[in-house]
Amino acid sequence: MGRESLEKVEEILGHHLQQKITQVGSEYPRAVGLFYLEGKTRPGFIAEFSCRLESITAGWVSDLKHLARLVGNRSFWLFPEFQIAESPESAALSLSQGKTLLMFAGEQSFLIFPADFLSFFLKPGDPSGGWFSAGVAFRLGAFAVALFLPAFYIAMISFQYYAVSVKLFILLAEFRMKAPFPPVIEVLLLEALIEALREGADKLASPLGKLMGPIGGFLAAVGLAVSGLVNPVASVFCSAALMASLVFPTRDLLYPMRVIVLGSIIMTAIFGILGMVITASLVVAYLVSLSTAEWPYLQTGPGLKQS
Amino acid sequence: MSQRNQISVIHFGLFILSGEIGLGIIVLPAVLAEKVGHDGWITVLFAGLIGIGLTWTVMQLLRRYHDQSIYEINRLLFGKWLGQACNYILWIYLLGMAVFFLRIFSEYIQLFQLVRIPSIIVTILIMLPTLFLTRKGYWAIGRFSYFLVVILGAFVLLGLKAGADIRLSFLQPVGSAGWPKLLKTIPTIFFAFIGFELSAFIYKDVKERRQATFWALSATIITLLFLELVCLCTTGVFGETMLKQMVAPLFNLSQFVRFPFFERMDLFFFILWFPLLETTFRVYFATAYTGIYKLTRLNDSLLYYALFSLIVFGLSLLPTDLNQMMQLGMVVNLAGTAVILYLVFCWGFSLLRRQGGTNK
Repeated sequence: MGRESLEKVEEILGHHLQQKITQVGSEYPRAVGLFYLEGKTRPGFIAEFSCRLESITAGWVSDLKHLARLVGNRSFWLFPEFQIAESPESAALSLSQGKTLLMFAGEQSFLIFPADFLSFFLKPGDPSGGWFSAGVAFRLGAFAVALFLPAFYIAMISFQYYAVSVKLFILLAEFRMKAPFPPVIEVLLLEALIEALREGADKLASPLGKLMGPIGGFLAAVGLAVSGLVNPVASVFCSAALMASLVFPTRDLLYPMRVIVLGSIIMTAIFGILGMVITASLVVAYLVSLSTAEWPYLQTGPGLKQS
Repeated sequence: MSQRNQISVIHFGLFILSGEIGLGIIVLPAVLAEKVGHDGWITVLFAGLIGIGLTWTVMQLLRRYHDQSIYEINRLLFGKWLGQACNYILWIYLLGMAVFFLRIFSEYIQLFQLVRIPSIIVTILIMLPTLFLTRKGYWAIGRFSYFLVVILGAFVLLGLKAGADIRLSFLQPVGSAGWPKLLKTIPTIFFAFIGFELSAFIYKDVKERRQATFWALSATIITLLFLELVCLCTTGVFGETMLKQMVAPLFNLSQFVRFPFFERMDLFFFILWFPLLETTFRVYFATAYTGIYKLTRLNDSLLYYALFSLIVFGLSLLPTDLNQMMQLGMVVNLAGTAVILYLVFCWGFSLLRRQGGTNK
């Protein structure tokens, strides 16, 4: 196991960690450690999770993400069920909340299970247990902006144009007159370009390379606006949504974000602001209904009860 | 399903609040202006106090049979056949409320925002989140209801913003409608507090019921305070003459309030308004659906759920226009009041029979 990381976690917590070592992979077995705090984690939870680990039938488990896919819920989950953490501080915080850690022998990364929604908005530098800190609130706000700003633009331009002031409306109308495509096509075009660049930049290994995606996205949006293919206001809205998505501490939320953004764009293009509200309601309804081993996905702090 | 239907006492309180808050905030100020002019807030106060008393009485009934819902209590009090007949009547009431709320909300949403979209489409859209959450059980509905607090908070802020435009002269002289008229209006506007009777249907599914009475009373008190705020703000801003002409005064209030750069702030309140109304429909829909397999030997299945949803959807399309819906609203008001009085009667009857405790 990554002994140094584990020792640091124990040092932070001031407790000795309980562990269960299991072999995963039928052809090329690898040792996986399941770590938890006695008295914090519900015993039934450990039993269920050990059972999930032992029932893995894959010949070889390549990494933590692969392991997460194998032991996760069988039913469809849009949001990430696991969280990969590097820092012992994150691991210690999760253990103190009654969660478990998975770790491959000799590796330094942890797989935190179960992940809850708000944990993806926490950074290692945040105040301990600061679920409602200004930073988390800002990131949650950015998440909402990234999800619904493109759809909001469509609603404002196509349906609820009376909501903006007359001065702003005249400005929007001038730009719209020159645009060749309907608002929904403009937004889909911009979103497709931005996501393609983001996906392409993932191939570049260096952290600077990963930045190329968003920067390329901005440049592409500006290029489309200058060429007159899309309305400059649409370009501003989509770029603002892209900027908001850069605020997320992890990349794990990008996949659900893409699905929801696409859904909200289509719904808003058909039903206006009601489509956006329905999509938001469905997303919240989906989030509140998720739970792993009786751990609600929207639970904010320590505890094991469904409350 | 039973495990998924287990809720905490806080969810129980939110469930009741969801049932109570819906219809009242839409039409109440206009109805009051029609009946008692600018003294509507006094009638709301009296109706609210009666509502608090009745909530307490219903909770006393449930506490006497501390691990039962009204379905079991009816059988205990009136015997197998008569009790079951009462249960079916109560279930029809729940179904009727779900149908009424679904249609009336789709009518209002169409009227204010989606004039071009057919009512049938709006109804389907309203049902979507509810269909998803009800299938997941009371637990998910209770957790979703936390957002109700945020929504109500936003409307309180709207009330405070509109507070600057309140003309005290619109609210004076106090009590000019006369006490007989004020008291006579109470039954007419009691619909605004209907919703706490749901406690009798879901009580069995509440964990740690010791604080259930506190949460049920809190829900009714919050409803009373919220309705008072809405009545005072709308009457104070628009005056009784203008209020009489309005269909949904709270929505008109959100159109009236101005913010920089945004011409119509009502759009943003519509975003909040939609989940608020939908929540009221949802609690009746979910309670009616779970009532099916509590009353019969049917098991919870996707097929029955789909059939039930189709029935609610189909029934909601029967009224032809808003006028018919208003007439139906009067029937619903009477039915809701009758159900509450029936629950009070059950409490009195159980006292006479000195019956209580658990079902053997």
